Amino acid sequence: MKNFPKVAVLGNPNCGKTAIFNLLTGLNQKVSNYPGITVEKKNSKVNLKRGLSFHLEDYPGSYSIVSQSIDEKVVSDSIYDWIRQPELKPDAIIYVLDINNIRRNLYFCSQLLELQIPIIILLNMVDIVDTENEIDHIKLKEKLNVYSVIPFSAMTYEGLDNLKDALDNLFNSPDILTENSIMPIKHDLLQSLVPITERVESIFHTTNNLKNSIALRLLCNPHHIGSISLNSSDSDSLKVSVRESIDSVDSDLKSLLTTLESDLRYGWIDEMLIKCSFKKIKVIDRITTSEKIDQVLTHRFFGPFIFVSILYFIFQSIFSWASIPMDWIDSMVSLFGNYIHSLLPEGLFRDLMVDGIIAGIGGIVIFLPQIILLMFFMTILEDTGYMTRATFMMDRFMRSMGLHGKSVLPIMSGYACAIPGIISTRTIDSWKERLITILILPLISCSARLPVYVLMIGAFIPEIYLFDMIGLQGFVMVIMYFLGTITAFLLAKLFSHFLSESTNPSFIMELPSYRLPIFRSVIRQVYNRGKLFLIDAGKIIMLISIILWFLVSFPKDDLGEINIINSYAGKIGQTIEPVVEPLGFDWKIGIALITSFAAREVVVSTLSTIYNIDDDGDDMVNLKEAMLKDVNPKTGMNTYTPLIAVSLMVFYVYAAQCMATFAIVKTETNGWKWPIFMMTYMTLLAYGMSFIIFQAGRFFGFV
Amino acid sequence: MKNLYELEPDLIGTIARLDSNYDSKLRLAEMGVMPGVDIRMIKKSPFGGPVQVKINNYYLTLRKEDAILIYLNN
Repeated sequence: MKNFPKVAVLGNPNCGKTAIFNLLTGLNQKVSNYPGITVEKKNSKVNLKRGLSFHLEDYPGSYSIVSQSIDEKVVSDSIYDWIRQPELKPDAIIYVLDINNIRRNLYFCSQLLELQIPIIILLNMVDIVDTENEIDHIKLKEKLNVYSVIPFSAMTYEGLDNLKDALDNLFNSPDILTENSIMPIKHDLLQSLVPITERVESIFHTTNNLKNSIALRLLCNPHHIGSISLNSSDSDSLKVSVRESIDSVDSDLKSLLTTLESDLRYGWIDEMLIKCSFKKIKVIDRITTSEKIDQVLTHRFFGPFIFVSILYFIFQSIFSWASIPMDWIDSMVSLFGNYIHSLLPEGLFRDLMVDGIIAGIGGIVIFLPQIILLMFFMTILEDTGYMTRATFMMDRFMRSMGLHGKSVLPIMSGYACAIPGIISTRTIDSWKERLITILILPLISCSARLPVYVLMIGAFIPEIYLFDMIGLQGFVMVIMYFLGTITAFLLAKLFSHFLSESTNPSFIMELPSYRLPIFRSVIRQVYNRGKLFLIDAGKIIMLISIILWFLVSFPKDDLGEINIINSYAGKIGQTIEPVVEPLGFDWKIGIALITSFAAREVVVSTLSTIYNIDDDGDDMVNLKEAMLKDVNPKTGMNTYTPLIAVSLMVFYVYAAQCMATFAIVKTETNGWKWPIFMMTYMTLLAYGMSFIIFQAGRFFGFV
Repeated sequence: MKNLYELEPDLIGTIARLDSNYDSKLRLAEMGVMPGVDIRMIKKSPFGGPVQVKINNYYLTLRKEDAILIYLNN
């Protein structure tokens, strides 16, 4: 076998694939997408004993090769690629199967068996198997004639050594013969399939039984041709052959064609299961623990109430708990900055390091506690199975707002960052609802807005209590979040009236049984998300910080000094000042608005850099105090007031200021149309709302 | 013929057929929702929202639009 084999992890949704992937891979895996839902395949290198290593690929969960959503299409596309180009085939498949739901889980497995790739079947969750679902795994291996069948638990690690041994043996046996059992197709049916079979053979160059099963799939579901990537002549000729075959089928069979493949497969699966001493007892009337939990958690009235309480708890903890490590990070960054300042000789390099890079990086690291907490809670909700219940409960309400039950998860992720939210909309199989979810997502206040709110509120909103109990500062913060969220829902409703995209009223989703989250897997996912955030955002911030530092530090005057207002950045800021003046902003905020386009959180580091450069002293300045003290030389009044602070926050609630989001929307909607639409409406909204707030505020005598 | 949405909570019905023009027929069949299989109604969410059912030892949620196209034996 090759010295660097490739192994694909496949299985139904909710069967615990990702937990197994995380169990096998180390912390240094390369993850190409965001945790929560696997919507793209993930790659990682795994080291086995004796220095043997292999590539592990985790695919999104699928019920069948016939894909119904974009995340499933990733799987079906890969499978057809393997068929057409055998050199792309993985050297083995690990098929993960929920042992408590073996019949349905074997459906997709039976399609994969036909690829004749060595398969290791993991009977997952064997630690919580119900007695009536027990199965003779040795007989199952024998009947399916697969490489191995291993009872497994990602929770207790049962079967992990067996899995490693199986992989080790597999990679060390040079020429193993793979002859997986496959579903037989009756002679008369094969006869009717002949036109398609011949065509499939010439397109896919496959001669074995696989061509028959592909032909059967196309006969049952001619639309499936559209989801296989083929050139137009192949696809047209295939359509003709399918038509020909359908015409040759008996008329009484025609009406049953759509479900013919599934009928045959389940018939074959049942045959196999009976041979494996699977007791086919009807268990659907038994009320399981999971169902008892649901009696409370998805109760007509308590259910939504509990959901809102959970959301409240999560946001409360993000604001209160996260503030402690955030304060540490804040003081550590400034200690570190001062230390480097004292270490380096005076000069350009020191200025760049302290005022540019350290101040910039500090501004990003500070979000980490919040991102980590939010991702932790989201992963727990996802892994326990609660998130699907939230989808079930919220579907009716979300539909009335032009969205979808499955918009709940993207919107909740949006409070951390719009990007993972936009990616996770791929599970919504109705295009219109998916598009609307994408378009409104950037209005949800993401964690990058938080530092803007924190800075402005901390500096300009007085620490007083309304009715002696509600802190004004906290109240203003809540208002900002509400403003974004409510506008998002209203616009979703508006968009759904005017958009004429296609919609799919059907919605089918499995509700997995509740289960305890696997700690190791949760930690792994949170860790990866945090790492991704630091690296991705860190790169942008680093670059912007350096450019900005240059723009604010040059040109120097004859004495080698810089007055920031005469710098390049100052000139740019003053050019935009007339545009943003009606909103109450000055040229410094003008610069910040531009740099914010790289990422919103840059506003804090930008202002911080501006004030640090402006400051003659040696220590790093406290931004909050600097802004409070800032006096406009023209008027002799304070440059920033509470009204301006509110206007600026409202601007940040609405403004489209994130290049990364823009780029992701372009990829996910396949074109420039929707990202441009999104930018336009958000910019108009931001400018309009800030204008109204500032002008109305002044009119009513606020400053 | 009675449809799935009309099945009262806690009652079990047997699927007779799926509406022939129903787009999700294939996906449901792949998930084992096919004629002859027993299905139990667990709950219907308020205001015509989705239903939760049990079939083949797993739980499934369907919208009302889907449930009314699944017919049961009387």
